[in-house]
Amino acid sequence: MIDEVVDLLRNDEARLRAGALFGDPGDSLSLRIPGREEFLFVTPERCDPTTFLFETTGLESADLHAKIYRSRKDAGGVLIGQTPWSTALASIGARVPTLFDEQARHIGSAGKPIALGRHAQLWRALEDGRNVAIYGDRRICIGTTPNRVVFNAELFEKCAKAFVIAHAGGDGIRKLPAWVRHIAGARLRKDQKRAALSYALGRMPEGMDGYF
Amino acid sequence: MKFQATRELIVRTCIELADRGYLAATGGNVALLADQEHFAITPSATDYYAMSAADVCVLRLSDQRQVEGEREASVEAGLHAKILSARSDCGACIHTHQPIASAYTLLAKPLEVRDRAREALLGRSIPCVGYSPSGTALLARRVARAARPDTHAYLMRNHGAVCIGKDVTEAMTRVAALESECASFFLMRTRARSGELDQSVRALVIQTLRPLLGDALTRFDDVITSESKKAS
Repeated sequence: MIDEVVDLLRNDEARLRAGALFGDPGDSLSLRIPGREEFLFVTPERCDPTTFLFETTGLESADLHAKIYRSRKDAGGVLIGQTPWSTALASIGARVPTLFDEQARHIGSAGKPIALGRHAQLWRALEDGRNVAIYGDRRICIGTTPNRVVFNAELFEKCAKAFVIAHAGGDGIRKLPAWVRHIAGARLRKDQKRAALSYALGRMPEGMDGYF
Repeated sequence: MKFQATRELIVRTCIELADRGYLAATGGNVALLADQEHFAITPSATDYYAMSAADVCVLRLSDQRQVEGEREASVEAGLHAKILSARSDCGACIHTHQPIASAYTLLAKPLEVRDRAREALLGRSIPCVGYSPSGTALLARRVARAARPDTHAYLMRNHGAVCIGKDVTEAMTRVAALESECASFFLMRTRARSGELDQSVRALVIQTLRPLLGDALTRFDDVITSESKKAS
């Protein structure tokens, strides 16, 4: 299983790099190893995947990943890092609205940006099931599978870019209707429960790549 | 494999669209007429970088019954079928989640095309249809109802865009033109808000939008200058 996860991690890393979503100092990416209390971890500087225990990593940049895997049993992959759009969201400082169907379905509310060091606020947000949080000027992006973490990163980048550009234009922005957010949110939570169950059984979750 | 050339063309088109950032994750889809009675369309929930021609589905235009393809067709098959039927002069229909046009859909209003070259490509006014969830018959009906012979792009509120053309090259050109026109709109607005916006955000937006304009930038600079003169 570890070799398979190593390959998946290398694929994710290559795709994120190609899309300029990973590769800057401070970025980090990890994937859960199903059936074990461990994850594989890479940074731009540390290209060979390193295995860490959920309990302790001994590496500051991996600690946040470990804590996410401990608290989010559905998390199959975690991407942390800064993009120009995550920095812009932090500068705007307002709640990031849910604007698109697929954002509601796969990411959920990103809430208000959280100031660096406000750990309790961050954990409340992530334990609430959010798949993206803006922490400082970085975005923390969670996915139920190796594919999903990449898709969520791409999706959030588009949503962030669209929101920042529309916000800069100064016209009123229409949000997604509440009933759509409600239904999509229920489906997202169902996926998260299924993923947590699969990982508890030592299996990689399936059927998480769809649009709906 | 039936309609192999058309299905391969869809694979290449999707990779091109994904490389340009017009398809976020698995969002967006492409349909091409395969013959008078059939169209080929991207499958549902597929990573476009991993898609093969065999994954591409072929459906009957009249009732969207799938006749070829190993995967389930995109949930937007009905939307594509209705547009291709409403616009019998078109053989290609591209639905994107392109970021700048998607940003424009958040404003829920038609886009008035101000650049002449882009007006020739897109039409004078691009309608924005009201919100309906992705993949629903209501969304398909709304876009089909908005279809006009002289309008080749359509916006869908809080969703994305549809561009059509006689072939995939023409539809792709229109996708780029629509992104460019929306970039022009937001660039003008953002430049006008120098005192109201965080400077780093303003700089990022301007720096992102400018390269999308190409030679239309000068014309828009003229518009901005004349509008500023009027204001003063």
